[in-house]
Amino acid sequence: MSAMSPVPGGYAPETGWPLPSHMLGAAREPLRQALLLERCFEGEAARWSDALIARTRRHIGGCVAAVETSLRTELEQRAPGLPPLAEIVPASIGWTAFQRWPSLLGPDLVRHFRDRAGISLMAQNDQMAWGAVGAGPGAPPEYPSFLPSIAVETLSKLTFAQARWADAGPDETSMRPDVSAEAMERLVWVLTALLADRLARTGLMPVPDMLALADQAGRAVLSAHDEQTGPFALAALLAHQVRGQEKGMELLLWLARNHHMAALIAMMADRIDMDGAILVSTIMEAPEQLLFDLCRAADFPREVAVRLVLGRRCMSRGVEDSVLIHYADAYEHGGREDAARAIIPLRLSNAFREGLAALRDRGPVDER
Amino acid sequence: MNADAGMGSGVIRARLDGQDRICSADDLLLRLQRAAGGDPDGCIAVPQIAAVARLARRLGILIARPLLIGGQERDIRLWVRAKPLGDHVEMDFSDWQESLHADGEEQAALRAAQIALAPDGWEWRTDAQMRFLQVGAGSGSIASGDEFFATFTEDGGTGHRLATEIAVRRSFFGLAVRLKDGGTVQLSGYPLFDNDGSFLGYRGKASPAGAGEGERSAAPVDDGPVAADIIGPDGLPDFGRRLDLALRQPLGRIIANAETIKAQMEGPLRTDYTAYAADIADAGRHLMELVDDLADLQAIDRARFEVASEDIDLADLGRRAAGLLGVKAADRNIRVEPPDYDEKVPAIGEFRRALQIIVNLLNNAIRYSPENSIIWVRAGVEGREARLVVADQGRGIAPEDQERVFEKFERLGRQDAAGSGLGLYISRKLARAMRGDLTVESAPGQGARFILTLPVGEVEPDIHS
Repeated sequence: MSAMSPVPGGYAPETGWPLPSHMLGAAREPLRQALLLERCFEGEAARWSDALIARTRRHIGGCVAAVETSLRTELEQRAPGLPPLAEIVPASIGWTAFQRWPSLLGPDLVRHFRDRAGISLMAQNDQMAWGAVGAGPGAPPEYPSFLPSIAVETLSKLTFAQARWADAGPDETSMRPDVSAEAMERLVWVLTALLADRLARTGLMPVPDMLALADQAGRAVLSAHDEQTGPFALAALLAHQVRGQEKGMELLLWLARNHHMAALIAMMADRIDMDGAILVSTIMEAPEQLLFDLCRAADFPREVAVRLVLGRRCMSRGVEDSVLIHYADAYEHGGREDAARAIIPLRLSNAFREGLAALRDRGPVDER
Repeated sequence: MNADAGMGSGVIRARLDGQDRICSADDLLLRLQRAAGGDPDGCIAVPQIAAVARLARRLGILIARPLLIGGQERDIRLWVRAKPLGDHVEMDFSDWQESLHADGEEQAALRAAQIALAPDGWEWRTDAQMRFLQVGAGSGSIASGDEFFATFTEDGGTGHRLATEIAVRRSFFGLAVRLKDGGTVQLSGYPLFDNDGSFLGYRGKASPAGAGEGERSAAPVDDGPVAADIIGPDGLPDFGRRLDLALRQPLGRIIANAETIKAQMEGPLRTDYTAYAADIADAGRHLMELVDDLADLQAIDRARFEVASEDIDLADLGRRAAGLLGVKAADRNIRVEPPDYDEKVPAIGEFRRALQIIVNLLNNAIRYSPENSIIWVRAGVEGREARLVVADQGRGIAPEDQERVFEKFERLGRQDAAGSGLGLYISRKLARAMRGDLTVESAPGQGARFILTLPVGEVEPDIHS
């Protein structure tokens, strides 16, 4: 368990710099990424729960398998003279390679999969899946009657997309790669490189021809990708559609009670004007007090804030219950302006935060 | 929340080439492009859209994201899907929303006040699809249901500017635009939004070109500068109008709250407190009258101030004014004797302005008459003049002061809080604008007779209900 100080409105500063790592963007820390990879694939010492690690592996494996399958199909269609790839290239090249060389994924992709795994766990809490939305298993979902039909349609798509993320099958079983465009680009080209490397070793076609073929296949897979099918994009669309809703509070409560965490975080991002992807990562990493501050700044009701914080416990335990109770009790007494001030560092530009991160632990420049 | 039905739920499309130039685009996006300073076939000038197009092109992937485009007065939020097709990018925009900045409400009130004070003309109102819901008298062949944009010519100058302003939901003032069926009008309008920020349409005024200032009629039609008589040289409304806008709303609140306290609606209060509240309400009302007078003063002092010519009944107006102020007179035990109910005195003038004059005369009479006195309101015809007389039993006006009372801010040395000294000045100007006059006959100690004359009407006037 971490030992965060329950100082209202403030956080114990880490050594040498007033902004702690979660304020600076943890993705920029190679050591933390390495730790996550280690924990994901071999290590045991990180703070992440077994459930999060297992779910992250499942998402990486499933998406890698799906993209590799698409690439193989595209390659076979573009090179009819080649024998079937299954006969000349071993199966699951990507997943095998990532298990052996996890750093091939890169920190951004690892963070993305960690984040979606975390959200899927929070959404799955208490048997989420879409059956939980309706009167019982198999019942049609019942959405808030005050929502406009266009938002109901988006919420429905989001429910099903989140249900896809809850798939707890074997790691390497194909899973729809509904990732962001940036993550998809990285994933496709890493996998294309692995496949091209393996194909080049067969000597069945000249390397330049084979590379051009692989490039075409990669582009084809990318052009077929639509990031709007993913829960993060659908949640952002829902937040966009319900902005200014008269029954905003009721909607927040409904979403929280039905574990629609992606939608809640998207609405928070919309309200506090933060990039959604950065906010999701922050919520995965941040201490509980910062989570409460984020909720307060977004004018979320206390119940929603508490549900969000408790929901995150499935991936990292965090502070003692007594501290959490203290935070929750103080929630309604805290001013929204104070909370907004507390989250200012999160809204700084990435470049600025990178600059601050580079200076961290170095001390003032005029001190020798 | 959504801009309108067409924009809110529909999809707006555009196609950009490899250099971000617009190959094709729906009209609304072109208007945004113009508002951002770009050409219809130039590089996309909205940086946020350009960034998404470039990202889609660079990654070779369909991008689906929310987009925030900040404007001068309002922000536009929309959902964009950008699909790369070779070097080109196809873009779909949906779920269009607009919201005012934090100070938008204040700006909207400012705009509304400016438009209300635009040169006299016909008022209009559209729905969110920019179809006329209501058009005032004088609009010619334009009727409710007509397409707003079909009414005016797109001449590439002001027409474009008009379209741009409306596309981005901005107010516009004194834009000289050509009507499809000939003629030019100065068009002013401001957008309407509901509590959720949903666009409801526009409300505004159209004035014959040149209605504001003489020199405006010579202004080029293809460039619509802000009308000089609406906006001061600093680009803001002149002092009087700003005063009007700044004071009217807070004064209204002060009066309402003071009346609430005075009436002890929230519970019993000490007597002296309710007396203070009554004083505050009275002072507020006085200030409100002053604001009204200043606003009128601004309007009537314009070189081309015009009033409508309507068939009116002065006797009917006299009875209405007496009815309006009957309670106030009764408070001081003053009896107002209006014209008989079967009496009709047809005249030519503007109903609203004639009533304003008579109310002013009657108000003055009540204010300066002794308690337990009588005020007579009489109407009749003399030759080609329709006349209405308000006679009181007050202390009267000395002959040497009888012209001075029609001067601006003239109060004949009175120091009491009541009155601004503008009412009679305004009333005479209004009467003369209606080709009539306002005069006074009086002698000290014998009360005063204010006589409104207007051209006599020839037909039975319509009764304004």
